[in-house]
Amino acid sequence: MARRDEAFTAYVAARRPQLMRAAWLLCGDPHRAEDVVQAALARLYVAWPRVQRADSVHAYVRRAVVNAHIDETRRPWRREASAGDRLPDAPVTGPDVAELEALWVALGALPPKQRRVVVLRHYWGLSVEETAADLGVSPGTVKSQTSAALAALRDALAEPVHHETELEYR
Amino acid sequence: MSNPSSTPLEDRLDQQLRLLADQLDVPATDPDADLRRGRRRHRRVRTGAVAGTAATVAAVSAAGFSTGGQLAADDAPVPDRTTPATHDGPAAAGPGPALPEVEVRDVRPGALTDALAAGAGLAAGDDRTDRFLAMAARIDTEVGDQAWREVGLGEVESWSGAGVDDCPAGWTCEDVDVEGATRAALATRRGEVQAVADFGDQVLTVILGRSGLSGVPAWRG
Repeated sequence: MARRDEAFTAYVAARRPQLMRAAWLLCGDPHRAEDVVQAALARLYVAWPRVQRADSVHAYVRRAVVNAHIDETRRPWRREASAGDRLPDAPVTGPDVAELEALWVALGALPPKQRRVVVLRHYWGLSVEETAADLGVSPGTVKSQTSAALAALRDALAEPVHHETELEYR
Repeated sequence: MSNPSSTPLEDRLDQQLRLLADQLDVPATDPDADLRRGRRRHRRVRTGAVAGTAATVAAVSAAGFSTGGQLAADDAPVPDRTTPATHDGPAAAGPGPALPEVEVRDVRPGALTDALAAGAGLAAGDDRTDRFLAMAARIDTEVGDQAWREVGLGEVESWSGAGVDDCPAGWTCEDVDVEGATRAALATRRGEVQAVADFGDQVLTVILGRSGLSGVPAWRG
């Protein structure tokens, strides 16, 4: 196996789960997320020697995922399939299931552009400027999209009211 | 990931989003499948480059340039940009269109969007800012592994008027998606790149050269 192939395969083995999770948050379903990740990684392979030399593999693939998601949302046949951007049942289990379900549903109800901003800023941890650069918009646009998204997610993110707290105020 | 300027709501979103992502049951996949898809795409890109060049040379030889002022590509049998056309189409009315002024210099790989977002090349309050940034983001993804000596930003009258429907000889052209644009295309040649995007009410162009802009434009920019 060529050195390029070995390095690419090692990168994919290490990073694919995280890319898939990010794409799943972006797309709302695992099948479209898989398409997005496959497209991004195929582009990465073509560009691999040069992006690796530039030490920008992760930034490149992150942008490729976002652009693949943009492509995905603009395909008419996909748009029909994802009308309303409804999400499937929340794939979460565990003690925080109710809160996470609420967040999953609220996230799915966001317009795609706001969802991209939320995922880049709050899942990938990018700054406003980095997010703006990845999305090709101004920092002001990122701020306004973040603000709108947070307003829409506010209820889903509300801290649960504990019984003890209620008692203290009686 | 919390930062000093984030609000409690943002911190909670960070935390909950990570919890949510950790709960997603990501299926195991074989990295070799991604490798095979990458190789296939690599072959398509290389084959497309050769086929596109050959087809365009044939088309240009047969039809000649139908518009005056089209810039000559390396191996096309066309006049240079100051020579009037000699075919049946409209004669060139003089020198070809002016290149866009150099707006940004010495852009490191993958940093075109950052350079424009930082204000380089864009006048304050320019309503084209977001559109140029969207184009830059796509350029960074497609060819962001290269450094650019000079970058020019421009606007053309119309998509068809710019000649974007034809791929000039010596260039490889592909349709790309640019956020907010109804259509967009990228032309590349030995590391030189020109992007054109149609935003409905505006058609914008970004021209990049590794050693300068002279002679770079594939389409009239």
